Amino acid sequence: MTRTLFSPRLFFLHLALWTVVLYGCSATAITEAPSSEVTEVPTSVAVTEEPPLTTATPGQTDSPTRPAIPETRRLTLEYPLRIRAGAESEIVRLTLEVDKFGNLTPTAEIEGNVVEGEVIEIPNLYETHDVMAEARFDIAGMDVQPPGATFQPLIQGAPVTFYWSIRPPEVGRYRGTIWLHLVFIERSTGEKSRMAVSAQIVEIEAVDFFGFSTNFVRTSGVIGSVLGVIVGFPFFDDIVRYFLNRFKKKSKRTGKSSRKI
Amino acid sequence: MTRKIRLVLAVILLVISIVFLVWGFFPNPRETRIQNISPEEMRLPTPSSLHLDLEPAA
Repeated sequence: MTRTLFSPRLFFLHLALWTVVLYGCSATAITEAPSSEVTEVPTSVAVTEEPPLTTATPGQTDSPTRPAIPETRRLTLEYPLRIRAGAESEIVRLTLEVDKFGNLTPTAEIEGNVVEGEVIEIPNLYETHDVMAEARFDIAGMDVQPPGATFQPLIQGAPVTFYWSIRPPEVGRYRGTIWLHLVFIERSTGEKSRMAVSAQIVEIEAVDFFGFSTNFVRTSGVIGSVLGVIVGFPFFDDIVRYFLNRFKKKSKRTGKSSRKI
Repeated sequence: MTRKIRLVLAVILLVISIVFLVWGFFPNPRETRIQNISPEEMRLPTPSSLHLDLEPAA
């Protein structure tokens, strides 16, 4: 008696066909591989100067020895390009860390000769001022936690990190700006100055699965998998037997060929 | 015949469910932007003033 009900060829044909059809349909909706795109942003593009809050002093000129933060810093912004709408939240991270390769003395190397630039004594801002980093995430229509501006003290050599939790209520494209300001408070007078260091525009896309909500898709996926396994359980025996037979045939062939040799 | 239908149904269910699960639990793509900030960009803001050198009208 031959078993004609289960045809392995038919089974794999169906499996391949349905996989191709479904992946083809959902090609636009399925998210891409989690590629962590790293882009180096030139400072001149993102930095915008806001009018400072300092009081105007007539007759004062721009001198090169204005106090400055004596370290090169690196600003890293990490955010999701796409979020599933309605169900999940994501984290946006902004870090202002000390650049370990930052060279304070301007140095140039020409054909092995190291030429050092003129060392200018720049007063250390940390000695005279309290420095605060102020970050704000402005994005219309999206739930952002914490809302408004958040402050963190900037200490020499120490990084500061800001985190926001975002959640899109609906499907769509959301555009926003992440601001970073430095607030200088003079210790002796308490005078405040504020300057914008960076304003980066971000675009986040909230998606769903052909109109189905994320929760529905996830629940259907789990329930469907369980049902599929239950319905297809009697055939697993046939599948295992099919693969065992193939393995046995192969081993027999290799045995015969080795005997001939 | 019923066995065949059951097999096809199982395959369809499994494939659709796997597509749903992949979409539902795949990690979101993220972007990282790095920007170097030199000490010159973190200086105390320059105090500014407005000087109007008005000349008397003839």
